[in-house]
Amino acid sequence: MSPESKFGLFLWTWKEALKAARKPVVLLPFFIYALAQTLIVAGLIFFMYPPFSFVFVPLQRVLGGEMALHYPNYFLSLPQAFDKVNFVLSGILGIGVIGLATLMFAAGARPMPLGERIKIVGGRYGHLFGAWIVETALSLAVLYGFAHLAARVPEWGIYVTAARVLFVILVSTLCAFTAALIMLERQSFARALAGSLKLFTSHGVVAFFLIGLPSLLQLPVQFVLSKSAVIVHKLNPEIIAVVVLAGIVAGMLANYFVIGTITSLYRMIAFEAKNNPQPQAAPNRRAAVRS
Amino acid sequence: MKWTSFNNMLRLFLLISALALSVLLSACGADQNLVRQVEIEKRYFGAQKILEKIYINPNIADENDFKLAIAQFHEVVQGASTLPPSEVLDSVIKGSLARIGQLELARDNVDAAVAAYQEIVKRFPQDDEITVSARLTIGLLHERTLQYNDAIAAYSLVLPSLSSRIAPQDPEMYLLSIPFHFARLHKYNPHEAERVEAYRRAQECYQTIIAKFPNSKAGMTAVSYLAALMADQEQWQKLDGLLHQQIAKHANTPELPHFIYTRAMTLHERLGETARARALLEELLKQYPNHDVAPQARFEIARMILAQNQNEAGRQILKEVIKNSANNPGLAARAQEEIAMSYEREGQWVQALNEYRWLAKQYETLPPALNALLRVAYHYTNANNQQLAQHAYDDAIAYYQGLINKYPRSVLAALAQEHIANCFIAQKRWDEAAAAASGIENILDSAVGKVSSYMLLGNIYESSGQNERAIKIYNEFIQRYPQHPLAHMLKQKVLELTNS
Repeated sequence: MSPESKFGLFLWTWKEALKAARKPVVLLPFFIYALAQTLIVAGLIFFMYPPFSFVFVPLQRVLGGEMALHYPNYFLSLPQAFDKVNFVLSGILGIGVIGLATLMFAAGARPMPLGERIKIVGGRYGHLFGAWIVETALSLAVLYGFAHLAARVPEWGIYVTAARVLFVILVSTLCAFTAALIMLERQSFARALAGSLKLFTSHGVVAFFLIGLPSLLQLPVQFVLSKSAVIVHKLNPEIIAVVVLAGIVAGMLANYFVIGTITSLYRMIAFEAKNNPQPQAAPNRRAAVRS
Repeated sequence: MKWTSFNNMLRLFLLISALALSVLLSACGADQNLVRQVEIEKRYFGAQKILEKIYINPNIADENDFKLAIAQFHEVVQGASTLPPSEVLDSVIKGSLARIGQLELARDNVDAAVAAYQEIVKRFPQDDEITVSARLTIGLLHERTLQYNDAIAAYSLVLPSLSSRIAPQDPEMYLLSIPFHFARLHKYNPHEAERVEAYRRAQECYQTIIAKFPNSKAGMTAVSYLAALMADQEQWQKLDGLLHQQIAKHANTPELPHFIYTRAMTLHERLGETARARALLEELLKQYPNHDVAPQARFEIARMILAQNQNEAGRQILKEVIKNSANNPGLAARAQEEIAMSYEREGQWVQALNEYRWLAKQYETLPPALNALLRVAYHYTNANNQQLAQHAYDDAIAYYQGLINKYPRSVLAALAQEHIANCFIAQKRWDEAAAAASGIENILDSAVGKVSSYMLLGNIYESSGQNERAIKIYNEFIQRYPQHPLAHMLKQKVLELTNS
């Protein structure tokens, strides 16, 4: 099927992502990542008990100071502490999950042993890491830039927040195709970034919505977590942990749809480039999907 | 490298990593102190949640919640005491003990509340901030239960460091009142040397605050208390000198009208210099016509005019005072009472009766209203009109009973009950008067209610010639409240009644 309109393309990618869920193995990387995140949340809550105490007591001290070792303070600091640890986790495990998931979505019905896919990811890990560094640096620059702006013009608070969200999604859209290019076309991270920028010029709008819409799943969680102090003092501190866990589930679903739809979109772009060769449209003439 | 060999190496690596990790984790156990500390903090947090629930409305809170919260706070204190001391644990212990005190107080368990605050003082003697607050609370609680010597002992320890706890521009008023309280507790002390020393210490405390924080809210309030202490000791010339000095010193402060007013009242009421007092008040009204103290100044000028038998002029000013005292019903009621009394003095009884009735109807929660119907009955008694007097007493008793039903278990109800007793006393219906006096204790189940009940009963028995009963009731009072300032006076009275 070759969707004619951009909207048709958008719907087709979602359909493809949903179809991929028929094979539960596709969900495996996301479950592994969510499991690792859950263990981190458990560690940040039960830091005083073994086996967590060895790592998480000093970690809590580093992240939140001595006060973070006291109840209910460690629930108050949980969202920020989790974000920091999750940031590191995304640079270590997250990029592997993206690479593996990209391979699985691209493989479609073609079978390939899991071990072999892990081996491919291992081979491309350095490039995935390079791309992650660049994307993260850009995102952090956007976040800090807008934080600075918000401090200078506090009366624009709500507009600055909205603009910040849009710009972070924009950065992700600019780098949307790097994983596909690194994993499927075996490009270096620098070329993959350049290629992703090229594809952004032709499919940026579709990619923006494919990334932006699943990201909305996180908004309710973020809103609730912004009221952490009220929840801790007026309701129950343990609710914070439940909300963070809900955030992990929301993040897992969002990641599934972002990687699934973007990989499907790339497959379609590569397929069209192969059948209608146009040098500027497709970044690589080699097979889009290596089985 | 072939896939199979990579796979084997990966498996080997995972196996070694798992072994190393399990050895490492089994080697390090939990930090037991940290685990217990977090458990204690959780319990403390849980107890505070119960406390919040109780504080929504302590009057209708479940007794089990009180018990549970107190038990949990006690457990927290016990548990935290066994751990190595730290800033957080100390604050948890202090918080728990203070909350135990609050909860016990809410249950009227004063002894347990005092014990909790004493525990704070015992555990943290070096922590001035918490010990001063705890000692003050202990003092207030002892005062509440009429254990005045214990209250004096608690306040006495606080006085030296009190000025260091005062925030100059936003002082806690109860802190500033403590030296005055301390001195007042000695007012009826039979030993003059102790009484004089107590007033000297209180004055010294206020002088320190005035010197330390001149031109501040705390300093101004300290001046007011210093003036009150002088008034208490009837040092009128000294008081006039102090106020004169303050008026000159604080020419441009918001407190100036208060100082002028107080000085005028001292001149009028204590030094007999009414003309100077009136001139001061009139000058005050001229300079500060819209100040808070202005209606009060007008009221006092009106009283001075009435005292000169210029009734119509005085009443006109009082009517103005009533008109402008919508936010101060106490002053309006007093003005209304003055108007009624002026008509009565003039012999215009119909107008006086109307004003008294209006007063009783309009300001029923205020003391002048309670007195109004009793004054009507007294008027008929003095005029030897027994029939109308009887009617007036019956009306007054019905009115007071209505107030008791409308505001049950309140100070107002206790006052109304006292007025019922006074109605019976005026009619020499002694048994009914004694029964009414005993009823005060049932309405106001506090030390104040009990003291009022005892004193009124004693008076009734004395007035009705039942000296033995009076002696019995006074002895009971002395036994029950040995530290009460009246105890000494009552001992002498018992001696007089025994010898008579």
